[in-house]
Amino acid sequence: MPDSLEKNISDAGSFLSEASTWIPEWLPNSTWIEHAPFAFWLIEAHEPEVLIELGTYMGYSFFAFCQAIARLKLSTRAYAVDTWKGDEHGGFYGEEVFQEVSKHNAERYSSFSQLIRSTFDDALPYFEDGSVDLLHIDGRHFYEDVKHDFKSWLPKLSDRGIVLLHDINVRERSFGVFRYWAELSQSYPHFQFFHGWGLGVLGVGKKLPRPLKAIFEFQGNSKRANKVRNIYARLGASLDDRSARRRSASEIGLKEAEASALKAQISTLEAHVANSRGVGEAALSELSDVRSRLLASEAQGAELEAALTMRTGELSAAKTEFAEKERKTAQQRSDLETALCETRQKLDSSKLQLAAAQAALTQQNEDAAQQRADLKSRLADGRQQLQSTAAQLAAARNEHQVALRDIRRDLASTMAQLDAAKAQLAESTAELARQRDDTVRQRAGLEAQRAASQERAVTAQALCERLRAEHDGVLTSSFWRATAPARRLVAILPQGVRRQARRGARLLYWALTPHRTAARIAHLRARRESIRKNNNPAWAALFDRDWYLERYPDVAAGADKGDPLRHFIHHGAAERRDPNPFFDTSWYLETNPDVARAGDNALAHYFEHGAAEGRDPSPLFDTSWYLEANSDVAEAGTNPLFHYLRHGATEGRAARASEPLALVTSLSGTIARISLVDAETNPENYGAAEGSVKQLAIRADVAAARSSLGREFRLDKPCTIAVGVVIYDETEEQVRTIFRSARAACRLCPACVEARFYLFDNGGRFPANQVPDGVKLILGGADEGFGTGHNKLMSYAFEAGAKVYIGANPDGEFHPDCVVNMLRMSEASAGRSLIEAVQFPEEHPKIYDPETLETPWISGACFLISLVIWRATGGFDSNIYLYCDDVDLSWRCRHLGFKTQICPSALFYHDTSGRPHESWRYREMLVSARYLGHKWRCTSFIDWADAQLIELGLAAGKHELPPLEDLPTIEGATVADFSHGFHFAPVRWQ
Amino acid sequence: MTVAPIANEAIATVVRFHDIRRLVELDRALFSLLKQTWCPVRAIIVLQNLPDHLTTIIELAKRLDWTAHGHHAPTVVNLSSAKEDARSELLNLGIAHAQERYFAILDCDDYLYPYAYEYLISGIRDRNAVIAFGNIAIKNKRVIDSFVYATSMNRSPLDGKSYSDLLFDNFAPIHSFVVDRSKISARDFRFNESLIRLEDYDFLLRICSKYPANFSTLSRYVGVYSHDIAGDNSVMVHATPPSPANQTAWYQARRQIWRLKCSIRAAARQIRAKEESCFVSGI
Repeated sequence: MPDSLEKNISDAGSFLSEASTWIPEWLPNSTWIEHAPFAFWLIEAHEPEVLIELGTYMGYSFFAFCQAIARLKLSTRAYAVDTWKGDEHGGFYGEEVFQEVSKHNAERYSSFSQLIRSTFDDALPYFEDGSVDLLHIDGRHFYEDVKHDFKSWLPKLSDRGIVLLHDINVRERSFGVFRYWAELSQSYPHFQFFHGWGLGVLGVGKKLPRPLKAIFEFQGNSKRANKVRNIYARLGASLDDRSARRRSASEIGLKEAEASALKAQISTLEAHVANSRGVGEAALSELSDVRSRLLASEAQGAELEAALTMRTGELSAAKTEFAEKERKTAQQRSDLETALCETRQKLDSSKLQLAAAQAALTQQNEDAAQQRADLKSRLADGRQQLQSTAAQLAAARNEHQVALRDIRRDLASTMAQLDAAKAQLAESTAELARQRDDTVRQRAGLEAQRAASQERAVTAQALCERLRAEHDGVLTSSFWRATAPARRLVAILPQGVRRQARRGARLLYWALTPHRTAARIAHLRARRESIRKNNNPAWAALFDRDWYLERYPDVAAGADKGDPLRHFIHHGAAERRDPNPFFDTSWYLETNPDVARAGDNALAHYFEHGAAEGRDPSPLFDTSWYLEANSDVAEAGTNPLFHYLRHGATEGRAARASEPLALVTSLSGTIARISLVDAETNPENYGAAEGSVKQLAIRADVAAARSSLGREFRLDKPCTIAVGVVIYDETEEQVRTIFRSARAACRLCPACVEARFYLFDNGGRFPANQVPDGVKLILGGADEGFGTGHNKLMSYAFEAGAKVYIGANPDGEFHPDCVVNMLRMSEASAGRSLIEAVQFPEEHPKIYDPETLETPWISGACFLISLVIWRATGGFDSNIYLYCDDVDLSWRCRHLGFKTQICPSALFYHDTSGRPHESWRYREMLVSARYLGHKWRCTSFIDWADAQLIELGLAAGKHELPPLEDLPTIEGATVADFSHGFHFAPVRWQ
Repeated sequence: MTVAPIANEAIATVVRFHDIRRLVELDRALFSLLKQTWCPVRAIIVLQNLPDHLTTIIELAKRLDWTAHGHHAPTVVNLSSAKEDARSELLNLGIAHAQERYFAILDCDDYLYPYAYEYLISGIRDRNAVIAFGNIAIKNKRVIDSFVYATSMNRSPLDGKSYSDLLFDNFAPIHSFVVDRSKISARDFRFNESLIRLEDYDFLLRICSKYPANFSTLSRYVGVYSHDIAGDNSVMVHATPPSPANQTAWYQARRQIWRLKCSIRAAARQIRAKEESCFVSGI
């Protein structure tokens, strides 16, 4: 310890040294900045062997410690622990912070200092217990965090251990250091600074250096402590000022640089101005030149006028000369005409010679024509032979096609039979399971009955033996023997006398056996109780008297109106009447055939056995769920239905997990299990939300839904998928977006899945050089429509080895999970399902089964088709240009025994909300719709579409509409649904 | 609580998330933000007591290609709070991290149409307003495993169309509005942390009573409010028995809102009286 610090430590100045006035060499922005003077003093006073800082960030405090260690030439080893990623309070930051701190450390203090990039807890094992002299905690500032850091590092502190805690004076943003400091300061000697967000100094070790002991003693004297605080606050403030000045200087530097740049710009501009001025002056000089040239031109004009006058005189002389020359020319013309006559005579002679030559040439042409005719005749023969061969080929091809179609039909039929057999097998298995359950239940019931019967038989046998003993006792009694003559006498008496005699004898017997009176009274009481019990059994607790009378007016009007329970016991139960609103007698007996066969009273059975066996009294009440959800009822052993009727309903407890189903909507075809409840219809039963919100409750077996999604299916077999997009007038940006998202979505598939990308340009206007990399462009000549475009891509992709094809609209975007979820679902169904990604943010409202995920048809906005389905269907119907082609393909799939499913965990962003109503689009929809009606044999739908087209002025009359007669049809199909207009399915909302 | 300085014309959207089982819905909400036509958008996902799931949420958000759409990368912040329900603190934490001029909120189970922010911000600019409201459709849904099954949708207009309607009752879902925070003082631009119900209503009452609001934009639907028919929303539904804690929270919130409304009405009366006295005295 330096002598200067050993001296008088009774005043505040004694906690100052020269070190307190040092200037930190490393000055980043920091809330710790004002504590460097104390840090310097502390290192000098404490001379720690090992220093650890938890939470270093930019390294201001740590490098202050290091600076003091280096300057004092101490043997301290310093460690900074931090993840250098940031936290909620200080904010998160990038890698550059660590790099900067690391660089400074390496350049200045690497001989004794080391940065440890880890969490505080991970760094713990690297330090021995009792080895750390100075610990600075400045990590996450929540109460629990600080407490954890202190407690976990406390064992590491030595006898000379000092702990510094920063931010002990921050009381906002959920900082909890101040709270924990208050707790610590109760247990350890300490000193606290309030400036610079607060710094706490805690003396944990027992052998602390004297100056530190002294400063802790100062804490108790507020006046002296304040002096120390003020000194260090002022010293710290000067550093803060210095830092601010440095920042200002930096900003000034920046501003000066900006000013220099501006000045440079000004000089450039001035040069420009000077240059422009020079250009102007040059232009002025040029202007004066032009003016002088103009004056010169005017003078030249005068000269030219003079020359013109002179030339006019010359012209008249030339005219005279010309007349002389004309006369000479006429003479020469006459000479020439004479020569021409002679030449014509020679020409006539030559013409005669030419005619003779032409006659010879005509003869040659006729010969050539004859030869050509011969050649034509031979060519026609050749063509005829060719056509014959082509016809033979066509016939052969047709035969092959017919055979192929038959094979496909057989295959589809076989597959359908296979599916039916599978379904039958599944049903049989389920039925078997049900029967097995019934048998088990029946066996349990029979066992119970047998046990009860055995018990009753034992009791009856005991009773019989007792009675026999009594009977034997009577027969062998002296009284019986003594009265034998009397009995014989009575036997021959008339019947009326005989009855009186027996009564008299019984009275005589009672009078003679007074010791049996008590037993007789007990017997009478038991008999009365038995009668009472039969008329008012325990299970009557479940009988709702008022409800029964209200429910059955005939009982209320009959003789049993005063005692409806009696009616239920003697008649109602047998007539399958219900005893309360939650007990459905018919349902109970149908659901539990063992009870029905035994002929038991259903309510009595439920009360005595059924509830304990987990049977439900009706679909409205779930016995097992009620007991699970209400442990108090289960613990009390109360009958759950009794509890619900008596207490639960009024306490607001639910009768079952999900609300019951009332309205079952059965869809056509394979979709029959979806069940929906319209709460608007029965709001009193279902507790519908307020207002007019149409609320549907659904039940879904999560395990079944997961199975339909193929969530457990492993994609571990090699597979090639093709993503195809058909464009017409889309922008380059749209094309880039759809393929970028498709690529990102395919990247989430396992490595065994290879993705290929195809683009079909309908109309061929898309610039080839803008096709994204890795996308195969296939040009379409004319605008061939949506379905035909995809057919071409599918044909190409499947021939190239793809196993599935995903078609997507170009104005959409794949969610990252879209492709892998669709693929998994397809693979789970062995490729026998046509799958649609759900559109987002607005999905199509058509209904789908939440368990099987089956839907009447799939949309073409984003769909997956397997090779199996492609081979069976041939893709979209090329007779459809736009719209309804996806409905047609879906129905054909279902007609052939395939499934059509929605993959609700695959999102495809396709927003059509901003799309206005366009007549051309609606016309196309109607034109396709009438063909759909024709193909699937629904005349009324064709009529409706025709009427729409004409009424809306989209067609002048039927004569304008395309003929349907020659187009294909599908007979006897049951999958088509024309009862929901353009939805082609029931919808969840309009 | 300090508010970060306003940086640009971007919009910051605070997405509250407190139940790790609702990742499917959060993913949808973020997907709807990704496709906003107004850009840049910065999603600030504020979590409550989910430090162990921070990485999961960051990875979920990172899967979407924000940069390619011109947006900023999302920020994910966790709030460790002893409160079971710290929804107002979450919003204030989001505000503290927001540096953008425009501000909006989106609960993790709701989502927006692509034009929502572009439309509402133009509503703010056209009327020189501070806040603009859009209409919201209501969808009833159940979450089944990894997907959301929508059972019905209602596109009825909201129960109000003006400030006086708002003063009567809250009709604006929390994601139906956008705020221009460059025109609001930092003191007003915060949520009341003593409320765990109706915190958005308190915020709207304070903002709309002090700054100009544009309600004419209510004519267009900008998003969807998802109502869970299993009763997982904080709203009380009749199908399930109300929990005492939920009832108490609602009761306390309504009392505070009532006091706020009284103070707003009293202030309005004073202003009206002052105006009338000026009119009478001919000033």
